[in-house]
Amino acid sequence: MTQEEVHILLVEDNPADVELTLHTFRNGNLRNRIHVARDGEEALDFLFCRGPYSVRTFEHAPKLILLDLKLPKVDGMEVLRQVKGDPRTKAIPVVILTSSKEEKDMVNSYQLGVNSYIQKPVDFNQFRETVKQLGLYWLVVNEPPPTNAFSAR
Amino acid sequence: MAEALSTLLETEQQALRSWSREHRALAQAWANSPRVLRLTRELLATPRTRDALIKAPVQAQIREWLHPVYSGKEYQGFFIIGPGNINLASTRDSNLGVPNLLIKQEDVLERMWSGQAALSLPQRSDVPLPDPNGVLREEQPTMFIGAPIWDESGTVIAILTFRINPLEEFTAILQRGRIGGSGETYAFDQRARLISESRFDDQLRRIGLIGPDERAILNVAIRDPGVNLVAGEQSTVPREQQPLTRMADSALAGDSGTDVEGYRDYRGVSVVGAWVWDSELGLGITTEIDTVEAYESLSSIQTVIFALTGFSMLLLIVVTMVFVAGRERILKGEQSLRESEVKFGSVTQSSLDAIIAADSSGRIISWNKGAEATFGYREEEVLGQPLSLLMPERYREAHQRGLERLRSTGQTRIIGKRLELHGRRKNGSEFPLELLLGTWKTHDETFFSGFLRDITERQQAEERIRKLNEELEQRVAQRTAELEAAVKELEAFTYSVSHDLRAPLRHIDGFSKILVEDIGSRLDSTARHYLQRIQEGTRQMGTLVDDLLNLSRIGRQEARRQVTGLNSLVDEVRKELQAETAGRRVEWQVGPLPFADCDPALMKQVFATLLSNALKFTRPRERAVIEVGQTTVNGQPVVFVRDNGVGFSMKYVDKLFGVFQRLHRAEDFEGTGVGLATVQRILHKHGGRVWAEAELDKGATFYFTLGEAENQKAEKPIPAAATRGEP
Repeated sequence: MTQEEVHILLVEDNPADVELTLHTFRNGNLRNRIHVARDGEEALDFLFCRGPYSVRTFEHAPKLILLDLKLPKVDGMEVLRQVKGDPRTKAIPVVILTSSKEEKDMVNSYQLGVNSYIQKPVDFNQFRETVKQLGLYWLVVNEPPPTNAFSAR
Repeated sequence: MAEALSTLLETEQQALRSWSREHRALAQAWANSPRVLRLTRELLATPRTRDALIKAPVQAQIREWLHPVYSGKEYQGFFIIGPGNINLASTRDSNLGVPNLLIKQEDVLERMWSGQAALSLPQRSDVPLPDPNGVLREEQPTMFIGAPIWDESGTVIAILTFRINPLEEFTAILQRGRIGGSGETYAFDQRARLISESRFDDQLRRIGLIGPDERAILNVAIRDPGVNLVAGEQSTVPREQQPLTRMADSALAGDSGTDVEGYRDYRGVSVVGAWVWDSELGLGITTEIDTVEAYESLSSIQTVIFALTGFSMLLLIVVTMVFVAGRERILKGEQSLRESEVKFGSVTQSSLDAIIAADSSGRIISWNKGAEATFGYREEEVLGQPLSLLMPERYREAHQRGLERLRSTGQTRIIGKRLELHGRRKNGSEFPLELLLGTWKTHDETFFSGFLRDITERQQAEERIRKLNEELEQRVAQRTAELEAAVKELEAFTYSVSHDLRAPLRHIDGFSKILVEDIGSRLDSTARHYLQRIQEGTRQMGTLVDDLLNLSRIGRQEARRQVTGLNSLVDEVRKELQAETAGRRVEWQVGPLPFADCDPALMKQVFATLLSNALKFTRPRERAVIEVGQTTVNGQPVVFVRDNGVGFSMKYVDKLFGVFQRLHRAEDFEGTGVGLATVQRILHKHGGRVWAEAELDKGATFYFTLGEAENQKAEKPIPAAATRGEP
């Protein structure tokens, strides 16, 4: 996969969740445009173009980050903090997709500048519908940030 | 004469006030104990029926806790009085759940509800009590001392009272004011009714003022028959139409006074007397003596004044003024001494308290046995010595200044006040003492009398009690903290468990659905049926987990109170439930509901659960009737939700509000068994409670209250800003 092709960065440690999320995209051509990061550290490496992802550039940022909160190594809240705290990444839309609906988490996420906060529904049909709509909205309906929104100023 | 009577009366008044104050302080101390508050809270949460109150374990606990107080000689029993003046706890089962006897003296109860400790007047008992001979009798006089029980927010939530036998201390204090053969001191209430014992019970029976088995207390009006009944004369005016005696008439008008000319007392006998209306105690007190005897026995009055100081049960020492005489050999002021009329009687000498008199230069002129025991000096060693001998060095200068001030200005700051100082014994040791000083003037000289008591033991006892209380409170605080920590931990655990359960559930549901979609057509009907079962299971578990999460969230979050119209909440909930009523005949009867200070989101959950339960359990009914309204239970506003559904057996009512407790089979009525547990938690959070009544196949009614404290604030007057009377 070349870097241009990544539309969605899915940050999710649970393989079952990864599989179910990818399944919802199986019928579109999106599936091949999704990159999965299995922990917070990998997500940060990917987004900040370092380590195994040092060949990437900030101009080719993903159009959407789907971020779980409970993650190994670096948790989702920290990933969010760094992404929204850096001028090179802060324009990327971030959607928290988590099991938690704890008020503390929601307040923190919004204060850090999250674009959307969604609790994963237990019912798979609802889950699938939600994720589909998310993809549709952010990748199709929404006007993505222009490239020079990703430069350090 | 007038002076002597007034002095005796004042002494009596002070004694009664001290006694009342002491008991009020004691009652308040018990009412303030954290244990009493905790037990009272439990009582308030118990339904106010006699049966429920008798059976509540807290009843036995509170009796046991207060047992040391009311098993003594002073108190005959106790009451905890809740809203509506209903007895919540008492020594006797028969008192529970009914209005307290003190509603006959409502002002006393009101004073307590407004935040003051108060002493009632004697009244007739509603239960048989032992008479002075130990025989149980109806309508014995009884009185109560009581104090408010406050919660942490400063609200009076209940009242603690103790039953006092007026024939004990109250009577004893007044009996000490009996002078000679006919003098008596008695108390009366606002209706001029005798509320202490008369010394003339036998006479009164003979002349028919009281029945053969009656006592004068509570049975005799202080009225003037116009003739001397004791001399056999008959009044033509019915008792209730007779005017008040000169004394009672003046006292009830709020005046104090003396009459040494002579007037008729309640027996029609000519007496001289002094009287006062004491607004702090709410009663009148008078000292009267037959005119004939009065002028014969002036000196006996003064003897009694000394006797008064000998109370063994009073913690306070009574101040009185002393005539000093008869000790010409001692001192220079012989002339003035002779002018004074009283001798120290044998009573003074035998008093346990130290009674010391001194002249205006501060030299000791009288020394009783009590003083000898207290200080270790014998009479002959101290007579003529300065009072400073009895004081530690550090008090001596102030004492000297005080004496000088008194000599030059006639003013003193400490006369009549109760002081706590230190004394110095013969062996040089110091001890804490309580002192009351009086003065007495003859023509040209002022004398002092001091009544003092060694309070070493009392201080030690107080210190012990204080320490015990401190320890107790510490232990309670520690336990509470431990408990709170445990509850928090449990809730955090519940949260994380239910949180983590959601992920695997989502997976089971997800993959079983993918299975059906992707290869469903290739599966046979049995396999599809099993897959459907799996999905039903996950759905149900999902609801369960969500409900549990909600329950634990409520436990952890603070109620955000605001004034909310409960009717609007009910309306909202009804709209949201519309889908469930589709195709059913449901008759809603929603009455006017109050505005409440509550968390609207949480209260909405309460109604959502209760109303959807009502809808659910009326499903088998052709016509469902669901009633929501307000009523009063034990004088408290209560909201209820009633349905005509399948109900449940009251056998299981205890399980109703437990988590995961269900009283119906899943195939009949779906549910997780968390809803009512959540309702209960929400209402507890608001300081209210919930309970239910039902009959199998007839329907169920759920009742709840919201924050009792709030309701009470509205009903009870704001405590008076200032109280009258002595500090």
